Amino acid sequence: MIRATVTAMAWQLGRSKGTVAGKMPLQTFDAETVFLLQQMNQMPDYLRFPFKMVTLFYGLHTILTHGKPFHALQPQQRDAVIRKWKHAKISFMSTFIRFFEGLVTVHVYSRQ
Amino acid sequence: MYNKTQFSDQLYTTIPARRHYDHIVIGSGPGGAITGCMLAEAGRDVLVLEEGGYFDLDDIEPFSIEEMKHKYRNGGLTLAFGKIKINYVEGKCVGGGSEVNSGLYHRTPKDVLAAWRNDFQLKDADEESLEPFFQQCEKDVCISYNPGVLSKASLKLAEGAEKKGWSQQEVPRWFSYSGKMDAEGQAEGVKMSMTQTYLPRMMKAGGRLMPQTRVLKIVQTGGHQVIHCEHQGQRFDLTCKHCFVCAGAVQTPQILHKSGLGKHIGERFLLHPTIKVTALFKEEVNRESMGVPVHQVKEFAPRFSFGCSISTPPYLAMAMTDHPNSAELVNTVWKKMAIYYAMTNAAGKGAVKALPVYKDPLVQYGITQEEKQHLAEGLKKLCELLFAAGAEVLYPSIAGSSPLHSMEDVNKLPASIPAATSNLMTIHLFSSCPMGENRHVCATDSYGKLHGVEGLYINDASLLPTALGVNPQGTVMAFALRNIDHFIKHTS
Repeated sequence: MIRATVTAMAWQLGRSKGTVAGKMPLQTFDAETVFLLQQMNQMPDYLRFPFKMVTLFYGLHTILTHGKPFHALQPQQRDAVIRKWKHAKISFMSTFIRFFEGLVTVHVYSRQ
Repeated sequence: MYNKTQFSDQLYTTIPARRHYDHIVIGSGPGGAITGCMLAEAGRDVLVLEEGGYFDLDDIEPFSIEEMKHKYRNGGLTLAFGKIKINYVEGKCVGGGSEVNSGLYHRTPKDVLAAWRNDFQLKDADEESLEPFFQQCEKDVCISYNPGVLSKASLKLAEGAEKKGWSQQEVPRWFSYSGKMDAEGQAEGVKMSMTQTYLPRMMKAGGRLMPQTRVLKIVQTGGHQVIHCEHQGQRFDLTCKHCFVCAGAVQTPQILHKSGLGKHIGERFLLHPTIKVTALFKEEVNRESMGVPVHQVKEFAPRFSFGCSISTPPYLAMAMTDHPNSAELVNTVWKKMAIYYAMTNAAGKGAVKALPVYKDPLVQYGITQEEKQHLAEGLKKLCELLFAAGAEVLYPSIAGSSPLHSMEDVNKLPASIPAATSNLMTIHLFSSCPMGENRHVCATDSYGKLHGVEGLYINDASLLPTALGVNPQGTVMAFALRNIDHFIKHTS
């Protein structure tokens, strides 16, 4: 479930970052998925498990709100969930999205 | 340019059969490399241990994702926790921070040295006593000014400062320029990091280096230090008479905490909180291989100072995640964009704490209201400077903030940076084990020997008693030279 959620985040965020003027849009975000998983495994060890639990919660909480886990949502629905978390007043929610957004962004632009 | 294959006889790539050395140095960054080099050149028996891998300078592109993955601790995902979380980065490779930083050089400011002498009773820390060590460092790592065409983004900082009548300076780097220029007039040369300077010297003098070796703890027994290590999953012990912990301002206190050694360890950790702003200019200021920006504005130091950051498209795109509606600009006009920073001098209080079970330490930094105000004021002044230099729009690293189009917009910025949305970072970490004779606050004596502990020394950024307000590596190197010189003269 964690891998599915990370993959969905990489694709969702990658699609919004992956078109550079004058170049073809990126078609696949497997490299970003691998990068995100590598970085999650490199983070300080006391943060690793809690972060994975938040990822799991993030991946599953949409079952209550949308009837499906995050990775099974339509792109527009995923976008809405990301926006909601990004602008949440609870800091861990916005930090969580910032983590994924920052890493996907830097990786996508490093590929261009 | 040196590479690791030239020193294969001095490199341990597996656990060595020999387990005792007279001197063991933990860490191969500027402090550890200098310590190991001076010991070896004095004819001492020395082994340097490094947790990270050994990469030649041209193995990995500077300021790239690969560098982040392979040369930074925790892949660059390290945070100081507090009311505002501050992202920091540390090198974890042979050569430590010197392999990944910009290489900008400053001597220790006079007023900082005076405060260290007065408040921490630090001996022999006047300018005259330190002069030979600074001179030696400057010669060893070729401190020099860039003779080529400087980056336009960096020159914009100088232009804005001149228009405002504020003092600015070009900062020298540890860099050996070859005298050749590329087609665009940029000077060619080699960064004089530790893998190009002190570490080769150390190995030529007979010192040994063992990368990919993590020190778990140090145990003192029978006048010797037993170093518990781990190399690629295998645990083993080494012993030595004298051990120098030079693992940086976060890892040094972590190792000492895990070892239960020393007092005032990790209690006064400091950093330079830094806020960034991305500027969009009318004309092009950026390009492929822009190089390292070298101008800094010290008009308002020590409250705050300004500089220009690495501004490659990946860095720009990441900076613009705070401004999603304008993020597309990076795709179209990145050559007109550059990232600048305002950095304040540390006034808060941090700590490095070892956690039971975990390998990584908890790092905390309590930013003060004064620092938040200085950062906010610094941000405003920086914006003023950038508008004077011709910026059209500015994007501060405050999530959800509006782009700034004029000084009218700048004046609407809050008087103190908002805790919930400001994205702060730093690359300058120090003061976790201050040196000096004042035993109420200092972990070591004036030369890095742990108070009340025999045979154990610190010789890295942890020792600096307070923040500097400038890039700290010059100070770290000069004090490392001074301390190891004192050790060699006073031990047989």
